[in-house]
Amino acid sequence: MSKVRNLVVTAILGAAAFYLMFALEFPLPLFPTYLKYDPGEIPALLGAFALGPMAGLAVEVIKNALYFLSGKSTAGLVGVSANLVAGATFVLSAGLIYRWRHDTWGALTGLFAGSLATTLVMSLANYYVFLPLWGVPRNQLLPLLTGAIIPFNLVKGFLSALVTALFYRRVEAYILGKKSDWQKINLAPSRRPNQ
Amino acid sequence: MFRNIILGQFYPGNSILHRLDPRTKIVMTFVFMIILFMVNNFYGYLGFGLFTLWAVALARIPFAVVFRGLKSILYILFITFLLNLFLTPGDVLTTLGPLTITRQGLNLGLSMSVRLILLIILSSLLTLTTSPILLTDGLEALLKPFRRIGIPAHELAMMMTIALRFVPTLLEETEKIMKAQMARGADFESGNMLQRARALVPILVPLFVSAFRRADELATAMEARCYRGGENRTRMRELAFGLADYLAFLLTGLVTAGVIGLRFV
Repeated sequence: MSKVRNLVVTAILGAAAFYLMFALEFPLPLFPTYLKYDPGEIPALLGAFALGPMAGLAVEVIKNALYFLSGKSTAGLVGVSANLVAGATFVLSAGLIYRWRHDTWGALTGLFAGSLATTLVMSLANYYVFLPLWGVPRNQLLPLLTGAIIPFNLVKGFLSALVTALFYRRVEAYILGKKSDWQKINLAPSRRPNQ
Repeated sequence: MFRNIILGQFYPGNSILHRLDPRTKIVMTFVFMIILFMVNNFYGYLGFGLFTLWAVALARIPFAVVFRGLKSILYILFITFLLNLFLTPGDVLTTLGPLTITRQGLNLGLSMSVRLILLIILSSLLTLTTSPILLTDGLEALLKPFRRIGIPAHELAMMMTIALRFVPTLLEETEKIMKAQMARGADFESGNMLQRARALVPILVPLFVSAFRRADELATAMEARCYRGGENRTRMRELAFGLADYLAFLLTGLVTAGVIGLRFV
């Protein structure tokens, strides 16, 4: 597969990730509204599985840069960088594990470990950087962490992991360029009964 | 629809802020965001606030447009203000039932709110006055020196540009697919979280399959035109610093010095 094609595929995954994040984000029940679920992680995970962890990271960077430009981000640069840290952790750990063990088991472990790693990293990042940045007082940090941040990241990670696991195998051949939907069209005439 | 998503916040205009080099604006925004966290007293906030308002006026963007971005953070702003107000220990000002308001709490709550508001205004000022394409060009130029440590500046900018171009296409495609699946009885609106996540699959599979066909076509077109990355590429728009940019850098330096001065004097 050519280098240019990798670049273009990564870019389009980035556009898809941005679009999914922009159009389909919804607050999860029971959580404060600034913690929103968005399916933007899914294209990044596809990229990380098919083209390697660095492609996944690039998808995350593009997604967040576009999101910042779109002006929909309620938290400006801070929210975008929080999302980038979370997404990058998820995608890199899942991608690295899948690269090391390239089968269904590796993919599932990668997704699971990615969710856990994201939760861990986001707890630390929120405790030391993001929540203090928002001006949350020190004695409120731990309750917010255990009450909102940790469960939210686990739920978010598992949902994205589930969707990715459900359909990665069905699009893998298309990402890798081994199959394309025009092939069906080219093959069609020979299968027609009247020929 | 197309305009709304892609240009996002960009507010076309011809003010001095619109005409500044994107590199200048990106650097300035970052410097201001960092020094905003060094402000620690009333005069600092007052000065910085006036400076920000002056910048908004210079951009000739209606205040309503700038403050629209603030509406969405009102919730978090309000919560942190209340948390700070009631939960900071210190000299008691007044008591409301079980809650006490302290002087330190009031100070902290107010300064945190002002800081957040200024932070949002500053970052939206950048995206309001700079088109996405110019921002991408500016970022590429600024990231170029980091090529040595492995940051692929040109590739990232190229991917950003391609992504910007494909967002409307994907949007149209998704709408088509959703309608097609709904015509076949798919249900995206109801059900619990798990069911809603699963309902994404019949949208995502055809969406990605058609997206990758477009990727193939674009990659072939680029290779047919001998695309080979950023080396020796010539540009339609060359970025160039003008007098206004040097003045802007001077101003940034003065504001930084002022903030540091107010903090330590």
